[in-house]
Amino acid sequence: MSPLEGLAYGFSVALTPENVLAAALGVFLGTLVGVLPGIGPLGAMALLLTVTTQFRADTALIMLAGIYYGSQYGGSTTSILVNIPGEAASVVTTIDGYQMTKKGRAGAALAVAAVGSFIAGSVGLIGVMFFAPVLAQVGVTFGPPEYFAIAALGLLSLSRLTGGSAWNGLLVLGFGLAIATVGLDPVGGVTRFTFGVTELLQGIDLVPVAIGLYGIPEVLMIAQAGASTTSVPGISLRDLMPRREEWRRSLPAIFRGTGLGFAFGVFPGPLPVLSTFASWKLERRLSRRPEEFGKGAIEGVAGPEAANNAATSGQMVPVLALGIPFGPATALLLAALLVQGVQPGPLLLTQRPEVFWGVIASMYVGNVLLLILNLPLVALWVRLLRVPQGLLLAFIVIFVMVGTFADKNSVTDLYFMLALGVIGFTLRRAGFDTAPIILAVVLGPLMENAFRQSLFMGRGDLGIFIERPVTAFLLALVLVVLLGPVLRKAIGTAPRREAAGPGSRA
Amino acid sequence: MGYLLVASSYPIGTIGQPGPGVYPVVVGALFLLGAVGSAFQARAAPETEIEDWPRGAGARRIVALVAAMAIYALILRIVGHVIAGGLLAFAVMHVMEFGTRRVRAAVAIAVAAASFVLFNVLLGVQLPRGILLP
Repeated sequence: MSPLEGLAYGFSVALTPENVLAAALGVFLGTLVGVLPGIGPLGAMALLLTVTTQFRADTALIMLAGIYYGSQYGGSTTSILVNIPGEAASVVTTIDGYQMTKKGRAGAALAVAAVGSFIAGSVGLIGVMFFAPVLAQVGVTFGPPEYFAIAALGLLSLSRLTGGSAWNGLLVLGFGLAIATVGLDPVGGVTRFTFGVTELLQGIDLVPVAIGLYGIPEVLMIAQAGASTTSVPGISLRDLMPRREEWRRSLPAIFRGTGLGFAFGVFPGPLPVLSTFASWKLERRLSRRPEEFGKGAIEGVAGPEAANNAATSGQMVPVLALGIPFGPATALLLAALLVQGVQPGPLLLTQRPEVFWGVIASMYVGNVLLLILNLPLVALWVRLLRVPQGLLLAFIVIFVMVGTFADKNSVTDLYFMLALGVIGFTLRRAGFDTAPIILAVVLGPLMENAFRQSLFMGRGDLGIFIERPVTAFLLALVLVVLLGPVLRKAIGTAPRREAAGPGSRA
Repeated sequence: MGYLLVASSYPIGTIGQPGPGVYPVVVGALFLLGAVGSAFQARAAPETEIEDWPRGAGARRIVALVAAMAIYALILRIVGHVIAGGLLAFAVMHVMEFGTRRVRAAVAIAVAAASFVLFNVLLGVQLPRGILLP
């Protein structure tokens, strides 16, 4: 099946009434959690994992993917209107977006963000359409050593690139991998770290982990800050139209951001976030009016928003083609596949084409829906931002508790969620980034399986990790990621010593 | 360290046939390395005040909220979701100082009932009924 044929097939799946409704619900919920403080897209996706088991695999994935990219749009809305980034990838949008709001151009900023995201998502879709099948065909040739190396690279890149020190990254990574080892060993079926607790035989479920680490800390941070009501400017539909000059400046930035974002997104690491910073810096460098950046330059909204959306599309490539997620949200999409009994990996393209192509086509449908629904719904989002936080928190806490319990009808899950929530809050306040933990929990069993199978294959010869060229290359990159800061420090001090000269005391 | 100790109690096997203990030992070593490295780094770093660390009223609200959620979990199967959820919602609004007692009670009942209908009736999730709805 050629990419165009595949896309046509995908549209036949994505445009069924059930799947259009799933996409609409997903983008609506995604925007909602992106706008509101509290759960966040990861928490929302984790909660809905339980509900989506009642749907077909393609429908479930379409809804969850809709939440993911819908939340990116919701996060930009709060960045622009109230200078509070809803998501990490929306931080850059606050720089110029909020300044535009202060100048009375909030509507234009929102419209440019929405249109830019739509264009980027559509172009990104073309990239996914062509790259994912190619990567899937390459992935069929991969064996356990390659999968182990890719997973290791993905985890280490995320833990190193999320900021903070290498030791902190290693600590949270180890914590996530440790959680993943609880329960039955994936190869031999030996119980590990259960301490006689029957509910731990199947391991610690993903829902309490995701809600505990991402939802509860947000709730506790709102509680810490105390009651407040956000002051939000009113926006009418008339205000949404950018001026001709604003379009003229935005469109090139949108296309540049799209290319940059997609290229970032296919690689492991928190690259959607990094792509927004890279785009902002690029636009400022290329602009004839760089002094406007930071004071309401529309390119400072258009470029990063497009980059973010394109990177989100790019992140779908490895998870669809190889079954390996490079970010927390795509880790949850992978978990959704597993919960549905669908085997992710390069054979997804041939064995479950309705899931593969249906999800790709639904991304386009979802982008159209986001554009159609969200601009007219701006007034609703503005009203929601004015809801008193005490009231909002009551709804969020009930929803979170019930959703976690509903996963396995287990009160033990509630205790796990709370314990992980306190740990997650403590880690966040101490400056640790918890993003690698959920990726480690999802990838951990795959990594262990691949690691042990590689040793079986090699019959005890560790050379199996070096003899295979792809594995060797990827493990070399792992070493670069691990040792990069040390090497940089060593190279950084060497020239200074040379410049000091032989007579120097240095 | 506790994790590593327990991990080393599982069979390691041989390098050609690794047992269930191999991977947890590697993970435990990474975990310990990260913990030790972080600790040394924190000691070596100059004294910095973590401005966002909970204090005073903020800390009390956090403790109260966590306690309320724990109590919900404790009583859920005994009294059912409607009562437990209503009490939790009331507690959250009280901690966040939203509205008067009457408003909180009214909203709490509405939230608990609506969530019960949403999950039990619409989504088909069996929530405990406890003593109120046998």
